[in-house]
Amino acid sequence: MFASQIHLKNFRNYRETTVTAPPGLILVVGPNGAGKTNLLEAVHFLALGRSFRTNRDRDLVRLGEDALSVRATVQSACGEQLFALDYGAAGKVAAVNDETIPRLIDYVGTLAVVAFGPDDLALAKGEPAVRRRFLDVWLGQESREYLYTLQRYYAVLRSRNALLARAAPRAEMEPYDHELVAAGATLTFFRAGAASGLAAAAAAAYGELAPEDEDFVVEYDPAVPCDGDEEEIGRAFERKLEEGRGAEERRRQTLVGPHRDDLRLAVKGCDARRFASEGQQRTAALSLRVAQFRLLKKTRGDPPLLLLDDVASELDAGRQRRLADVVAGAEQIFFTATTPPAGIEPDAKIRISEGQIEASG
Amino acid sequence: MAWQSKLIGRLVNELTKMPGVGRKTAQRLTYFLLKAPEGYVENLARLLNEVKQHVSPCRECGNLTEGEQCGVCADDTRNRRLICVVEEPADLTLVERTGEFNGVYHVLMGVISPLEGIGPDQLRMAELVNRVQTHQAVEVIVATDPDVEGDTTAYYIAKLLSPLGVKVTRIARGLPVGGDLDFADEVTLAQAIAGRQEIGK
Ligand SMILES: Nc1ncnc2c1ncn2[C@@H]1O[C@H](COP(=O)(O)OP(=O)(O)O)[C@@H](O)[C@H]1O
Ligand SMILES: [Mg+2]
Ligand SMILES: [Zn+2]
Repeated sequence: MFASQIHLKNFRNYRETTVTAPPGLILVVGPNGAGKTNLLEAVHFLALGRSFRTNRDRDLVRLGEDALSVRATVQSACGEQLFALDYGAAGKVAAVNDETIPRLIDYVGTLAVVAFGPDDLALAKGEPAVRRRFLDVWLGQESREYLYTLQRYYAVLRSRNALLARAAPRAEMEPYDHELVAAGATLTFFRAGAASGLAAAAAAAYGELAPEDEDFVVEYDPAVPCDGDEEEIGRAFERKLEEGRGAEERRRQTLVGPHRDDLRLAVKGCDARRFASEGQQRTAALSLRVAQFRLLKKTRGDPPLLLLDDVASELDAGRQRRLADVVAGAEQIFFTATTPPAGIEPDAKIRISEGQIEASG
Repeated sequence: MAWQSKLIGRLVNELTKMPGVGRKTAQRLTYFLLKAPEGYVENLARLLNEVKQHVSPCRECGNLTEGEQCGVCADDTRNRRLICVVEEPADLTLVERTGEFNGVYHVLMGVISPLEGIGPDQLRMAELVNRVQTHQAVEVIVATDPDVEGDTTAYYIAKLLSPLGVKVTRIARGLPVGGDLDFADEVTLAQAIAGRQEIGK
C-alpha cells in the first residue's frame, strides 16, 4: 500500500499542509529543523496512534494550538481509503472513510508502518524497555488480539500496583493476580511464538547488511519461563508471583511479568549491549527493523509503509546500498536526509523548509 | 472578573461538579437554562426536588425506585434464587430489555477500581452475601462490563460467595472486548447471558 496524499494540520511545526506522493522511494530533503522528521512522525502517529520519539502526545500539537489532525489517502488492494486521526481535548479520535471508530484500539495498526530512525541504536544499546516497545509495536501490528491483551495487561498492572501501594488485603489482590496471570501468560506465549521468526529474519538481515561478520543471534528473554503452552506459562507465572510476594509487599509494586521481558542480542557470541562495537550495534538495530518489516509484510500480505529517518548519515556507503536492496520489497518509502545521498535515485522528492512544503514531485 | 455575573459563575461551578461536565459544557448548559422558555426552569427545579425526595434504592436489590421496593422485586413471579449482579440501574434496564431473564437483580452501584480508590467495601457486597443466604440462591450471574474492572469484580464476587456453595457465573464474551454492556444489542446480550460460564471452572 502507499499514501497518495497526506494532510497535516497543526502537527508540530506544520500549520496546514498537503503532500502528494507516488509509490516508490520518496526523498524528503531540507535543512535541519525544517520538519522532515515531523512529517514522518505524523505518518507514524496516523498509523499507530503514537509517535516514534515521544510518549507525550501533547508535544505533537503545534505550539499555541489545542488540536491537531493528520489525514492520508491510502491506495491498496482494498482500493482507496481515507485514514484520519485527530487529537485534542477529546483525546484521539480516529476515522476510516469518514466513519469514526469508537475505540482507538480497534483502529490502531489498520495502517501498517515501520520506522527506522537515529534513535534505533538504543535497540541494541539501551534499556530493555526499548526492546519491549519494539516487540509491542511489531506484534501489535501482527495481531489485534495481541494489542487487546497488551492493553489489558497494562490496565491490570496499573491497578495491581495501586493495590500494592496501599497494602490492600489478599482478598482484594487475588482478582488482580488472576487477571495479571491470564493476560501475562497470553503475552508471553505470543512473544515466545513470534521470537523464533524474528531471530531467523533478523539473522538473515544482518548477514545481508554486514556479510563480513554475520553472526547475529536474537533470543527472547522472558520474565516468566515460556516453556509449554499458555496454561503452563500461567502456572509458572503464579509460582513466581507467590515466591515474590514478600518482595512485592516491601517494594509495593509488581516485580515479575512480561512488563519485565527483554530480547537478548548477541553478535559473534557476545552480548551486543556490552561488547559490540557501535557499528555492529547499528547493524543489529537495523536488522531488527528490517526483520520487523519483512515479517509484517508476510503476515499482512501487504508491505507496510516504510519511514527512514536520517539513516543514511549513520551508515557507510556500502551499508547504505545494501540497505536499499534489503528494503526493496516496500511499496513506498519516505526517506529523509539533509542533503540528497549520492547513488540513490528517488521516485519523487519533497523539499521542506520551516514547516512548509516547497516542492513535491 | 467583575464583568461576569457572580450568579452565573456559581451555577457554572455547581454544574462542573457533575460527572462528565467540564467548564465549557457547564457554560453551555447555563446559557441554555437562561434562554429556556417560560416555566422550563421552574419545572426542572421542581422535578429535581421530587426525584431527590421520592427516588431511592430498592431495599432489596439497590435498583432506583419510587417506594421501598422496585418493580422487579415486587413481582412475585420472579425467581429469587437466581440473582443477576449489575453495576448500575441502567444495566438492569439493558438486561431486562432482552426479556430473557426471570430472576432478580443486585445493583452494586459501581465496580471495584483500585485506580479510583473504590474497594469492595464501597459497593453493596455485604448485602449480596445476605441475599444469597436468605433466599438460598442457586446461581449468581455476574453481568458487570466485560472490562478489567468488571472482570476483577466478578472474580472477587466468585471468591466471596464460594463458601456459600452458590454457583457463580459470568456472562459470555460474545461482547466486544473491553467494551461496555451498552455496546451490545439485545440479541448479543441475551446470547451472552445464555452462554454464561461458571467462574474459575
Ligand atoms: N509542537 C511544536 N510546535 C511548533 N514547532 C515545533 C513543535 N515541535 C517541534 N517543532 C519544531 O520542529 C522543528 C524540528 O523539526 P524536525 O522535523 O525534527 O526537523 P528535521 O527537518 O531536522 O527532521 C524544530 O524547529 C522545532 O522547533
Ligand atoms: Mg530529523
Ligand atoms: Zn429491587
